[in-house]
Amino acid sequence: MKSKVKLWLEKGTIDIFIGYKTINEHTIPHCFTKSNLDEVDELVVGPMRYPLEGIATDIAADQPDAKIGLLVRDCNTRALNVLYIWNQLDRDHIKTITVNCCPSRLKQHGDCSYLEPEKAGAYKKQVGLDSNMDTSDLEAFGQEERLGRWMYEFQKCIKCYGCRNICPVCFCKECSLEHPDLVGPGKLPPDVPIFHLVRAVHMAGRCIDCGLCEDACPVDIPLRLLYRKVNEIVLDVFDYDTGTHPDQSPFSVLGDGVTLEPKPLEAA
Amino acid sequence: MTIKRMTFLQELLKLIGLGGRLHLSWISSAEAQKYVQVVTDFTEKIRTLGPNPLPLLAKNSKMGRIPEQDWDKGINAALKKTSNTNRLAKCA
Repeated sequence: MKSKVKLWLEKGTIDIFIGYKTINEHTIPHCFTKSNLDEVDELVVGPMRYPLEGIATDIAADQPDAKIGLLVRDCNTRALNVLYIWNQLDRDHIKTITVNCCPSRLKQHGDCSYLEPEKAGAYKKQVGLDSNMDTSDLEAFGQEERLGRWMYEFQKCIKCYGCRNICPVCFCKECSLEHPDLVGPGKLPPDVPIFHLVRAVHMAGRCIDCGLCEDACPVDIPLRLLYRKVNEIVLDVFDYDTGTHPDQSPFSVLGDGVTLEPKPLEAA
Repeated sequence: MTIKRMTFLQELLKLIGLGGRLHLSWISSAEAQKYVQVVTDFTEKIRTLGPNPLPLLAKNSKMGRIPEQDWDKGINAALKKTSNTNRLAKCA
């Protein structure tokens, strides 16, 4: 893998390679370039997980012609697909090296920080929602109970924007969550459930279920569960499978039946 | 587009537990009868669902958040303790 990266950088196949490097015992994203080729030996693959494609998007926004190499897992691949669809990255400018993801019967070993999500405690199970819950278990609760449980989870929010900042498919220049008319500023918890519902709506047809938001959330709001359910709705209603579908989501363009030409008057 | 978003939003509200409180209808200005029918039906539906449960829930201390007065109590108690041992003065 390291020799491949070196070869790519030397040949100019890519200008920059985004991988991980351990600095002061912390494995963090690092950009490897041709000018510092020996550094590639320090490239590491471990359970640490960051939205590398998000970094690539930022680079591409600044330098549209840059050819970028990436270390990808399955979730990164899905995120890349979404970013290609929404014209945030150019498919021809991205080179990927696939590394280990979740374990399966064929490959026993897995590298992912999210393999063992935190277990919910007794109180959370009693009044809130278990992050490891199946979406079908969620429907087993009645409407009222579900509202209470979601509100318990949402009320914990400290509005750190961690879920948005870590999200690999959040690329908007202006964010609705920062708009003072939509989400009132200077209040904790933020306007619940509006804050979380706004994000949930925006995740429809976008979220690739990587779980980074839930991983980043300091108060353990089951965000992955929420967005997973949201995308189940998108799949059920619009038959759109987020992350693998080749077209933009059903919310991106005007409806099929709408044309912008004035309709001719019917002959009398 | 509207119908797509509304259908999605109706499902999302159902997931959160506020289902049935959003309705979409296309009514022309010439369809007074239809307008009356839709509004009457929807009003009746909302009446059976009852008032919006969100404000009540926000007041409920079971939401896992300690009510503000309790916060104050806790802080006051802590302040009293620290003033007894004069820790604040030491810190300053």
